[in-house]
Amino acid sequence: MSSKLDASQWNLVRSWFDQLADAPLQDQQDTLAQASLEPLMQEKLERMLAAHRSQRFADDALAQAPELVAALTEEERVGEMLGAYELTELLGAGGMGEVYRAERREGDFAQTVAIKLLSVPLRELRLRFSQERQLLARLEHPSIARVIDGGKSADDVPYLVMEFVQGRPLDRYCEEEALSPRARVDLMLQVADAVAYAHRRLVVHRDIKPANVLVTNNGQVKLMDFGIAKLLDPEGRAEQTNLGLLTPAAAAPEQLLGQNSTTGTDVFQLGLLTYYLLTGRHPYLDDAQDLSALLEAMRQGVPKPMGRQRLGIRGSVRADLDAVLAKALRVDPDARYPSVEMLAEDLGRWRRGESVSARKLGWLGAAGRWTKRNRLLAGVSSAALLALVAGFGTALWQAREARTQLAIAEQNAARADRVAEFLVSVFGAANTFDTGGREPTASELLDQGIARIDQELAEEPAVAARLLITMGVTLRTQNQHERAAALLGKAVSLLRQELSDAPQLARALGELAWVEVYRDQLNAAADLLTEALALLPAEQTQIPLRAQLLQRRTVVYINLDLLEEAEQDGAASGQYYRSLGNEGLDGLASLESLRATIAREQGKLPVARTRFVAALDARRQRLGPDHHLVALMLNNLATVDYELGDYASAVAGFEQAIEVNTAYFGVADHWQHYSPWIGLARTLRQAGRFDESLAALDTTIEITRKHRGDEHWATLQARATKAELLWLLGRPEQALRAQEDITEKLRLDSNWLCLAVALEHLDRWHNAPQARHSLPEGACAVGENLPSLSQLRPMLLLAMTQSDNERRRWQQRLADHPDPLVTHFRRSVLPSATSANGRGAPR
Amino acid sequence: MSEENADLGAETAAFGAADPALSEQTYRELRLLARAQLRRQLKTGGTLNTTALVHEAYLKLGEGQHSWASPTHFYATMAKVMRHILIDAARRRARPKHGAGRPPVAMQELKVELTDASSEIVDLLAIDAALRELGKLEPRLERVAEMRFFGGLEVADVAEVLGVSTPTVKRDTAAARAFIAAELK
Repeated sequence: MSSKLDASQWNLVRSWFDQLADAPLQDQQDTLAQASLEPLMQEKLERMLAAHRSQRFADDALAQAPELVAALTEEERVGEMLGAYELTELLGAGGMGEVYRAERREGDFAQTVAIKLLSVPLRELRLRFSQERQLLARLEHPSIARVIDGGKSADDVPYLVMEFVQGRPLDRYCEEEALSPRARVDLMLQVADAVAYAHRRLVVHRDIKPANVLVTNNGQVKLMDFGIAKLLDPEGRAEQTNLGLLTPAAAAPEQLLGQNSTTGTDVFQLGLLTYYLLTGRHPYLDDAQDLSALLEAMRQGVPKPMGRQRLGIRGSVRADLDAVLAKALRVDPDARYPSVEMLAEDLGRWRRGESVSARKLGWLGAAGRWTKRNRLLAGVSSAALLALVAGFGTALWQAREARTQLAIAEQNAARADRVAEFLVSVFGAANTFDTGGREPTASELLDQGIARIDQELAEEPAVAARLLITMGVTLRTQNQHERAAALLGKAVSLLRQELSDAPQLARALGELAWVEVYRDQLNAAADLLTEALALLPAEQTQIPLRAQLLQRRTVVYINLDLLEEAEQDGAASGQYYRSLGNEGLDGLASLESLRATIAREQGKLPVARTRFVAALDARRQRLGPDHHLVALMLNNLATVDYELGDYASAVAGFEQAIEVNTAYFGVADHWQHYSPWIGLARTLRQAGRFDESLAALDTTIEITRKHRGDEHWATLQARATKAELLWLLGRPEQALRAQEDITEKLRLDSNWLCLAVALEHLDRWHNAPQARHSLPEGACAVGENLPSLSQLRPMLLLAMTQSDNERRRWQQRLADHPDPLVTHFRRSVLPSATSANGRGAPR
Repeated sequence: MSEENADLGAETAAFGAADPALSEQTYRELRLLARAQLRRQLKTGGTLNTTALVHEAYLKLGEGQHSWASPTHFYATMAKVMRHILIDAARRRARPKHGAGRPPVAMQELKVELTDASSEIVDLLAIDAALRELGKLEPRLERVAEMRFFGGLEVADVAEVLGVSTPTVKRDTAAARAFIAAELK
């Protein structure tokens, strides 16, 4: 197309074309020969006629470019900016619109969000959109995916920016985790709590179904798409659900009939979801059929009892649950529970083994209700409550010790009693008013208790301080470090004013220091612990507290890399623990492990080994053979064996650690399995058992994926290790698969090179230079000394693509390298790397 | 504003000028609609077919309150929309992916480059360029080709939209097609 026709030339060409297009070839050629057109026109005409004859080029743009169209619909908006966010990945598309993963590109902080583009033109919902959006943005609940922002795209599509949730749909989660019926009801209680919360803020969900309830890997429920169903409704029918958007099997009868949706709709859908999770089917129909069949079944009015399903729940307990769900699933909204809260309350009662309101209260039922208070104490079995009670126990224990010191004995006992009294009153007077009539959760109890310390104990600072310490420790165990630090700080300042109770102040300082460790304030923690130890009287009293404070300072010093100081504190703490006899054994066991760690950090591996053996014995003695702490010691011991080069012992140790963990947790892929598996993989690789090492890496990757997700460094690291192993074993195809997207994420220079070489090797030269360009200067330079594999790796891989002579030189240079993988590479992979050569690849 | 968005804006503006009857708002809605239809067609796994797509889009739109002179008029408009969508997509993907200031190419992008339809992109962009060229020489031919190729319109439909006879449309189609094919060489 070097030169173009002008309009008059075209007119001529066009008329000749029309005339000749359907003429026989011979006629065309004869006519053209006589026409004596200008060369440009002649050429154009000939080419047009030739094209016309061959009829090449399809009639249909879509048929012409099917792959482009596929890619277009896949990645439609990927790369587009919506406000401050860049769309990075299409997560899903459905009746309501598309959901993308997006990253914040403005401001100082990175943020991953989900953006939902609503498939209704903005015009239809412009009036309500911003108003609804604000209502939704005010929903802040741990079980509700938060709405962060919203707006409209350049082409007028309204969108909502939401919290990005990584999780599985509720039904899949229950199946994959093989949850018991009770555990499933527990999840539904979380959902119901979230829905009740939203109702109090005047938002109805109207589309509660498995796909809208995600569960994260740590079991947190996240309810998605709150209020979206309403938002998508056409104007004027604000309270009715658009039938076209409904999933009939998840709909309430009033929705199917096009009547108004209310909070009762959510009650029905919660009941339906619970029923479905427990039985795997719909309460009115055996399997999903058409709308009319569903309506007909519902007209009968009564859901099928769960009776014969495989529930694993028997007798009256199952009948209770049937009654609760039947009440939630009534066709007539007015016959259902009047609120989600009341449904949740009954489900909660069932869960705690109490009688439910959905069944008539007989004499026994009444008796059951009478004992409700007591059951509350037994039934709220969360970690928080356990921790609270444990803290309470500590206070009593300290009171007991105090009795031996006559002067303060009675006073302390009185305080301990007062503490006990107060705690009992917190549980006893469980304030249901603040929680809207619901039984308070353990953490709400805790909050109520904290609030009351200020109000009721202003005159008794010593008692208040003890409670504050207990509460602070409890909050720390819940990882609420800021609040824990605030309470413990308050306890410290109360006790500083008192002056009379130095051990108590030391204890408060010790607990505050421990929170600081969690907050990564190591220097502050060291100072607090030093102050605490200085407070203790010179004579040898308060032995357990001393031992604990010294042990904590040991931890702090190790983390500050003050190993000498750590070793001193550790030794001193160990003596105190030993003097306590049996009561000191647990402390001693954990201390031995710490001291072993110190020795390992100092490079004294044989000492570390001896100490880990001692720690392992101590743990076994206290906890039996199958405890996860025993497994941890086995793991640590094996790690030292690995570092000592004793691979046979290390393999045995890691394998034993894996077994113990499996016995303890009852599953073979608990997160605690990660350390021994990755250790085993490394050891096997060093021992030259490459295929076994690969298998161990696969298991490691499965575990990290399951517990930490695809993005976690542990997952990426394990995959990078696997990829490297595969490359050096001469399996580039597999290596490339293992590598996938980790190169960019890990940002390892050597990985970039691995990628480049693998691509070269696989005859994909056009991509290799890109990876090569991302290498820093000098990464390819070959030095004279070849000390370690990590430095060697890039060069080894480059060597694979070089000439025969060059590769022979490499074989000589590598002859004495100690790493077994390098040896394998030199003997087996390098000589056979001919396929990458002789293609005249560009350099 | 990114380069891409700037492109889009210019094209939309040019489009509006070329067809004053069509507001930018309507154009955008049609764009959305076409994309939705494309996705649906792809999802159901059938072969891609512009004619079917455009007809479905019309039926879908029938639920709204757009007033088109006739279905045919709508199809012709839709052809323009389809052309814009496809050419936009082809352009976006033809652009070099790692200019200055961008992070190194991720593995994901490499994969895309390995598998995507670079020849299709080249074809589509060349077809579009040839159509523009043709439009300069004989505007009606560009419209005919656009309706046939990007809108899947039948000869009779094109004749109705343009107010010419069906033999004229047939001749125009043959000439346009041959012109484009010759340019593509």
